[in-house]
Amino acid sequence: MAEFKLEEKAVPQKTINEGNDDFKIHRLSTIIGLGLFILVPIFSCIYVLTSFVPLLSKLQMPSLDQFFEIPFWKNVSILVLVVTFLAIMLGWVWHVLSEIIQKKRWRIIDEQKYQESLASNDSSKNKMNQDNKTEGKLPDASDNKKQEAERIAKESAEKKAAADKVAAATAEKERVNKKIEQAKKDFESKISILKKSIPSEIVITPENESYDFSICIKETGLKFIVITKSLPIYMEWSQDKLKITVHDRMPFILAKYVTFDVDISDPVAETDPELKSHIKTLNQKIHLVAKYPKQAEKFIEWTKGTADQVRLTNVKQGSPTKFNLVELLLFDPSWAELVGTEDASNSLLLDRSTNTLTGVVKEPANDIKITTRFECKAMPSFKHSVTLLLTCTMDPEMRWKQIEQSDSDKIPVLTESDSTEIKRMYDGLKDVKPLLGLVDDFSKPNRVSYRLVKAGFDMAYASIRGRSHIKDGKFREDDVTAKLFLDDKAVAIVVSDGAGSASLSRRGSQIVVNLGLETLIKSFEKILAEDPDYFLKNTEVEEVKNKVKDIFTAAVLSIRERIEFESDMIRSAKSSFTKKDMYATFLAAVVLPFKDGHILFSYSVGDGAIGVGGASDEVSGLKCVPDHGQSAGQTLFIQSEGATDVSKRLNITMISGAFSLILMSDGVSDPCIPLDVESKPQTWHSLATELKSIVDGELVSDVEKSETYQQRGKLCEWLDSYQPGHHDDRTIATLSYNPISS
Amino acid sequence: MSSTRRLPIYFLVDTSGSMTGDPINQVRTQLSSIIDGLRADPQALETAYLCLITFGAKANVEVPLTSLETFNIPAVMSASGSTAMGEALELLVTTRKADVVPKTGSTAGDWRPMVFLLSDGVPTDDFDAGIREFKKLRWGVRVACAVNGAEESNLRRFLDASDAPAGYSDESANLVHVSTADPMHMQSFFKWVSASISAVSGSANPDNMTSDTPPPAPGASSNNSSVGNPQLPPPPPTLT
Repeated sequence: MAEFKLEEKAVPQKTINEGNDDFKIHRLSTIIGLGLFILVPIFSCIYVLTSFVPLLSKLQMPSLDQFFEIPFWKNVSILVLVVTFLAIMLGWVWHVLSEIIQKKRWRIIDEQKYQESLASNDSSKNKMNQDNKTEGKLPDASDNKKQEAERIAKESAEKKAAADKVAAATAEKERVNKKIEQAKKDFESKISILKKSIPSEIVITPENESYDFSICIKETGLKFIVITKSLPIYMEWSQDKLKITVHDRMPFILAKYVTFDVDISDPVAETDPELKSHIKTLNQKIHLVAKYPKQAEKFIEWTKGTADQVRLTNVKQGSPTKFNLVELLLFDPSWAELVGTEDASNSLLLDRSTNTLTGVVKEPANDIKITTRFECKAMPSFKHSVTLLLTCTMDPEMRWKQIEQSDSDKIPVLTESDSTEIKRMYDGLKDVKPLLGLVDDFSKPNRVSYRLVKAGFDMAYASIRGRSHIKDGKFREDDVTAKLFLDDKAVAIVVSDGAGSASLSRRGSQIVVNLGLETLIKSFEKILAEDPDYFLKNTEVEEVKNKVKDIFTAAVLSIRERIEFESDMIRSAKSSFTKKDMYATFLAAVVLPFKDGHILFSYSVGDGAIGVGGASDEVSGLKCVPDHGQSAGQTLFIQSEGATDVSKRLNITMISGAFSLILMSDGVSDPCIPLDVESKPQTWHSLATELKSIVDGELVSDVEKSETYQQRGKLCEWLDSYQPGHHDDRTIATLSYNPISS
Repeated sequence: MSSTRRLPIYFLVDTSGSMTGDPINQVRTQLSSIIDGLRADPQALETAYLCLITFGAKANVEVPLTSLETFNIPAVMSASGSTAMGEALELLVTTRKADVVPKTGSTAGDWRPMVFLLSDGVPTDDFDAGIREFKKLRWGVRVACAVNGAEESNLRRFLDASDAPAGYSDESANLVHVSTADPMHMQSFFKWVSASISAVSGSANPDNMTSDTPPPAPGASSNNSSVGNPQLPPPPPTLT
């Protein structure tokens, strides 16, 4: 009973006392709080407002216009202050109201509880008293009283049972609470142990690229789950080994750090239904920090930005080649080391000290693969490789030389139909007289040369088949001839270039030079036979000019006539043949003795050049009408309309003393005489000097000789000189006169 | 010694949306095999200079005029957008004016450029303006290639020389048809292109196209749409 009483009394008393204490503290804090709440904003407002007094006087609230004139931030600061003040006031009012309401409610609750407890005490006292009374009064008790006592006893027993039940439940609750408290404490302490062993930040270094959680987990027996979703793809989480490994360090190093989540839970608490809901899983963030050397970062950044294949600039076969790979691949030797290269063509070698590839690629090839292997300077395990693509192009000069050497002396390649056609054309012509050098396949030697030294003249010429013609198995289309006449006192030289695309231009040029030379010599001889002193006597240039005009016109006409005649003959055997198939140019020069020197008549139709060097500047220079230049691309041939425009085309030059006359086909003039200096005497002086030294090495022979590439004379060798893009037939004729040697 | 006269060769390639995928890839492949083929020809190697202009929504100089020796086809050619053929012609004219050395009295200059125009569609821009600019200059060999049955009328205007400057009428012009569906067909076209370039670069005078020019060599003239360039080999009959 005493036990019961104590408990009954203790509960309400405690409640009231506690309530009173709480209220006192609460009240005190509220008063201080409220005081601060009110005073601080008020004082701050006063402070701020006083500092803005001049501004406020300006403000004059009713005038909106003036209000907007004030700078924006001032308005805002005032607005903020006002709002803050209002908010604080409102908050305070609410707080006071809620305080009052709370206080009232607490009083009501407390009083109720107090009354209840008092009431229950009284009733139990009464009951006990009654019980005592009934026990004491038992002998005098009547039946009614007895019944009453039984009922009361029964009730009290029931009450006691109920009270016991409540007490048991309370005890149970206490036990569970204690257990939870204990479990929480345990969990917390385990977590703190775990936190010590799993730092919130884990550093990954090149030496240690994984982190093992198993040791710290074992100690605590906690459950550890990595949220895989938050784990970046370049980290690998191995659940059974509780280990995180960097499996692709490149992005990791670039990202520098990554964060992932772990859920830590207590497996014991999870299985205990009493604890399950109380012990929460702890979510922890863990940072992984990449601690790699700076070089690694740079290296990786570089590998990311470099293409797998890099094309090098093309190189020419046989030329020394050098590639600076640092400039090309943009790496820095301080963090990337070029450890080796493999060149599929085995021609380029790596110089590791300068990071350059040098060598000579000997054979042309497309896309030669050169593999370069790199290592990171501070971390050799970091590797990278770039494939370089190199195209080596053929060296045209080398190729031309091969063509020249292997094919130059081979006869042109003729297909069976070509041969049949040529045979047919020849058959149409074979009976004509004179033949003018005609042979049964219209061929001519691939290279010829001639040198005659006589009567003060040093005359030489050479003609070679162009490399482009050798390559295609075509004949030489140029032609040349020269002759001394008039008892070796006069010279005639004719050079002709057959049109490249005319099928029988080689015959055309042959007719031009042979018939041209013959006609010119005959005409001049005829004049001089009639009057041997014609040119010496006639100082009237016009008169001479008219006479010579007729001679050249006659030469052109007779050549045309012959070509037309021959093409008509051929046409009878081959209907599609026309005179255009024998297109050729005409360059002619005739030198006659004149007064104390010589007179030169030069005449040209079409490309090529005639010039004089080695004489005075007044007479040296270009001695023909250039057919290129303004009328570019309109190459003339002897068959052309303008070929008989003699007054324009005839050049007369009087020379005293030494001179060098040079005639050349466009195969020589194109690469040799730049257009802008073609008329300058100096151009011809230097060419004359150069040719003189060449011709001096040439053997003298009275007849034209056919040469081979392997046994070529000096002049042919000179003609063979390599000029990129110039591979046409080349013909040159020179006539040097030196009065001393005569 | 005078410098080498260059033979500029312009490729105008349609890279509009309709060329996407196989057609443009085939063109790329064939162009690179042209380059390989020409590199085996020493004459072309010394004289040929190539320029690649593409036109889709915009015309663009993909590779500026570069010697055959150093020319490389871009690793990737993509196709999208409309067909700015007029802009491409204008760009061609601008590029030519900037790059090609003209012939003057004192300099031989470069040879007249060859132009290959490859398209599978109809111009979507101001084609007239482009043609007008184009016709103001003299060109060498011109070849229009109608890909996959493209409409001919515009390509014919590109070839037509009737409204061009005097002396232009004898220039070579060819219209050919190719189908990208047939790789052999493409190959034969590009082989012919390669042969034409070789022929022109190897000829003594690639500009020589006036009435004084001799007629084609026997067998060179055939019943194709050629207006008569003597140096040009006839396109394969399957293409015309």
